[in-house]
Amino acid sequence: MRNYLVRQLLQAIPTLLAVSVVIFAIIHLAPGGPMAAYAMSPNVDQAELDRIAIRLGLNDPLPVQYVKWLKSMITGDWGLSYKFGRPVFEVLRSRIMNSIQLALASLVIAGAISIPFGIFSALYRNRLVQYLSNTVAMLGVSIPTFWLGLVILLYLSVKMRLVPTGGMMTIGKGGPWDRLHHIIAPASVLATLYIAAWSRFVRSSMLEVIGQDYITTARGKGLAERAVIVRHALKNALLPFITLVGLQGGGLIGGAMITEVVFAWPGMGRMLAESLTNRDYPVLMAAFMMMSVLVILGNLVADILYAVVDPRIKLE
Amino acid sequence: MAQGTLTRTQMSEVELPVPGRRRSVWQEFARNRLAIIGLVIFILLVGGAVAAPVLTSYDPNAVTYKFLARPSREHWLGTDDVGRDVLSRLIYASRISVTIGVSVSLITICLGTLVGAIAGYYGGRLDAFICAAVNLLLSIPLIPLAMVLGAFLKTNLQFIIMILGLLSWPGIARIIRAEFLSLKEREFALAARVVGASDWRIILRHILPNTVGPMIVAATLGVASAILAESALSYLGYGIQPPTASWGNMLINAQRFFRTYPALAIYPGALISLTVVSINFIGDGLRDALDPRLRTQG
Repeated sequence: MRNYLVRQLLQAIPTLLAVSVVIFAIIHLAPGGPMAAYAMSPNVDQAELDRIAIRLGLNDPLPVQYVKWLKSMITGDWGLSYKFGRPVFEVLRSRIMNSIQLALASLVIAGAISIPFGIFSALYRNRLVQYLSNTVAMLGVSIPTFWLGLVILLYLSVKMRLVPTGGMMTIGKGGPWDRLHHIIAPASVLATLYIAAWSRFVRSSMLEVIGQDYITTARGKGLAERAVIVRHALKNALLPFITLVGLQGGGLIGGAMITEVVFAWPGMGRMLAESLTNRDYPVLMAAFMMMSVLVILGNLVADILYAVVDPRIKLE
Repeated sequence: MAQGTLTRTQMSEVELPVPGRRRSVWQEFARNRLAIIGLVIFILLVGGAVAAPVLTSYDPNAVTYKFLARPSREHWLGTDDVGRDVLSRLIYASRISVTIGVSVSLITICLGTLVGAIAGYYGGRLDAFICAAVNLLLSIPLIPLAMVLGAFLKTNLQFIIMILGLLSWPGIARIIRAEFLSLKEREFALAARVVGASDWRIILRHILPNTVGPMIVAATLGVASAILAESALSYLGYGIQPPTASWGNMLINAQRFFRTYPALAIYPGALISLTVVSINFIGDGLRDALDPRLRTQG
């Protein structure tokens, strides 16, 4: 078991390093270079630019710059934001927590709806239920998140005033109910895609499990149908589901960015979009790195959970 | 009811194979009603895109004096905030979506199949290297990466196609690689090697044709995801730039002008959803039609 975990961790590290190289390389593709923000200001003359370049270490050869940047990333000194002048870590810290809140909320919503829905459509095999669940799942996967968010925002929020138009809290208020009020729309929109995808998956997984011999045995033992489903079928059907959740975490991070932009949710994704507009490269690099770290972490967690839940994996 | 026999209702659910007659892939596909509906819708959409100049009576970028006009005899869906005819813009935008969808999917399939085939067939260090690259690309979320690339490079049609194509190939590569790993141990592949066929010949003429099923399904679904990705990028401002019409960037102003003309926010997104749904139906139908058949052909 421990060997398995160590192996997974060891695989994750080179991936992280490779991601950092890619991100570093891409940022240096930027037109105007990393100094673009400063060069744009008419008050800054060439001598000043040169001094800034020396101070930021931009005259060193690229590999040296990369190593320095990597070291600073690891030690937690993420540099200063070009736009805010504050340490990048400070700027991003709260944002990351907000994004994680949103992501977790939508995971919970997605799981809470898709698992029962999938089980239901696996157990009730009449035509209408199948047709409906298939179509609904199809729609959920096909509707663009930003459009769904936009429509919900415009109708539920602007027209019907049911939900706030954005942000994370009302000024002057706060507290858990307010947060809930703000999070429910973006989290639901973000969850839609996953509800659709996961319910299909749960359904097919459930169908596969029900066809197995041990279910027939359980029924033969005389267990009530409900016990059969809940105690035997469900556990095994949900195993691959866990891996799926972990693997789709990557898409969740990207999709969360779009939802954050639509609902003005102060999260990491929106920060990335804003920093791109502002040419705030330190923040951009750090946010990008953080997103990838979260994706890799998600895969790792999925692997670990799978090993914990499925005893067969531990023996490998 | 005797044990072991099926009740009438159960029999109606079971699809008994007709003895002596195998259905072709097309026949199997045609039995799926949703898939046929999807196909019809998609053909209509592509037809509309191709026939855009004929169908529209306005230039999609032509500015008139009627701002945010409601639907009328002259402008069937009204006008947008600078006075351009909405219907014409929607139809011309469909050209962009279809073009990008099909092109990106083609690039993804070609690149992904090539890489997946090499990784699956040769194995060893080459495979390890390719797997590492695939993991790397899959660890960076797609839309943010495409956004940054779009911001730093150009955002014309060709670049968007290139960017999306270069970021989407890992998915299909994984599938093809898995297929190759299992297929290369089959008797027909081993027989070809014994006879002395070159590696390339085995890959191209023997193993690859057996992967056509998953390939076609992935290609179809790839069109859908490419269309979704392009519209998201355009909405964020890093895809197709205005004034060129794209379903995504037509939604950018929808928020601001919601009070005056709310339906403006509905049309582009509804069309995106319709297109993607129809493609997904087709892909699902193809998957069902191709899958069991290919398993029996091995």
